[in-house]
Amino acid sequence: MNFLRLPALTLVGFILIGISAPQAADMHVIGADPAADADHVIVVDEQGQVHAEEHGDGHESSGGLPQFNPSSYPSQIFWLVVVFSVMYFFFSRRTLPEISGVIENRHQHIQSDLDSAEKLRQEAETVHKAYDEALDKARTKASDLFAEVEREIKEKSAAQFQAFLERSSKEVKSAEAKIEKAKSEAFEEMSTVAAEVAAKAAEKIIGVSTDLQKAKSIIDALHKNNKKAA
Amino acid sequence: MADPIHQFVIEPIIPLSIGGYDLSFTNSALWMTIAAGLSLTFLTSAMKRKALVPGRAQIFAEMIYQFVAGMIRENIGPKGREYFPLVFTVFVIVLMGNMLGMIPYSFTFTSHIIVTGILALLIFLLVVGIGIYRHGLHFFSLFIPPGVPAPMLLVLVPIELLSFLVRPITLSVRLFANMMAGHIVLKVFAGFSTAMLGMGGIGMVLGFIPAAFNVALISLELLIAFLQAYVFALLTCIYLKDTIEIHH
Repeated sequence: MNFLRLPALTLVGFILIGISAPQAADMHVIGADPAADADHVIVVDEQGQVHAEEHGDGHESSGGLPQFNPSSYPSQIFWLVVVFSVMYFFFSRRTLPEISGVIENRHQHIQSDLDSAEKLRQEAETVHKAYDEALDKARTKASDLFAEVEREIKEKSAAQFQAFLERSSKEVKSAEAKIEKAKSEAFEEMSTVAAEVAAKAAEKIIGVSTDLQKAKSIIDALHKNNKKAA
Repeated sequence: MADPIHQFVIEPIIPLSIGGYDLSFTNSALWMTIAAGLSLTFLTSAMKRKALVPGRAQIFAEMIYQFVAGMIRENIGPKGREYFPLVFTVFVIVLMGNMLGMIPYSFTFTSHIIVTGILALLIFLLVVGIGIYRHGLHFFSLFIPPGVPAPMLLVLVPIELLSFLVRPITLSVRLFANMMAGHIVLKVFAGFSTAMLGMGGIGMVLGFIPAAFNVALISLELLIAFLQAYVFALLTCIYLKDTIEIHH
């Protein structure tokens, strides 16, 4: 901050430097006494200015550059200092901080936008990764389940097939036994019938009543013989 | 033919005398005031909205800011920020002076050696003042080129010293001479044109040739007006660099 005040101070210094030279020249032209009291100096000076201006005009028409006419220097220096100071003051206090604030603000805004975009991108990436993982897991789980179900079905069907086999063979066996039994019963009945028929026949033909039991045993024996022959 | 020098004459508008000094508000002061008023008004109104997405005026204001900021960053370095208001003010006042001078019937205050001289002297004294304040006597090692054998220093130190002391003169004369010469040339060509047209006959046709030249010269002068403001601010940066760091 110390240095910010320096330009203004330096310029004030210039006023004094710049003004002293032409002032001395003017005084020399009109021969004013520097030791005169204040009122007197001002009066003399006003005359001096008129003098100087006339002198300057004459000089210009004779071809000299107005730039090298020192009578205008104090005014130019003074107004340059005033204008420069005002501009410096306003620029350093208001305009420049304002512009830099806006630019800084924009810069931060863009940076934060970029940052949040980057964060969102990373978030999306994580989500995508998690999604991929979940998908993979689901896929393996599905294939596991599928294999499990297949295995179960196979087991079940094998068991059922086994059970069916057992049951069917049992049924076949019992059916066979039943048939066998029916067969033997049928034979039994047949021999009884044969014995009765034989007894009846013998009664009719030779008129003897026969013992049924005897006849039956004879039939059985015959049957056994037949079987042996067969 | 109009006097090409007449455009540089200082004419008082409001006579003013303070403490025996003629501090009249002149045409030069008027155009300085216009320059300050225009630049301040423009920059303030352009930055009024402080928009995140700038409009045309704000872009222009920010462009000038970034232009000067870039100049300081490249030529002084990051430490040059403290000189930003100074360089900015110097650049704007010179640029406005040069550019406003291109308006017909206006006054170019940068075509006066006393104005450019005061600006140059301000920069020169700032460099010396801040340099000595910061670096003490070490500041004067600026005049001793590094890696030079001792006998050569007898020759080189005076040269370095002279080139340092001549800085405010070259800085001010460059701007003043450019502005003055350009405006004189413009005026002379315009004078040719009016003189030839006044002759009548073939002059009525030939009189347009210097006018056409003037059109080209005005665009050249506009370029010079900007370029000289840029050069002035650039050299200001380069000179101010000596207060930040001294080469060894």
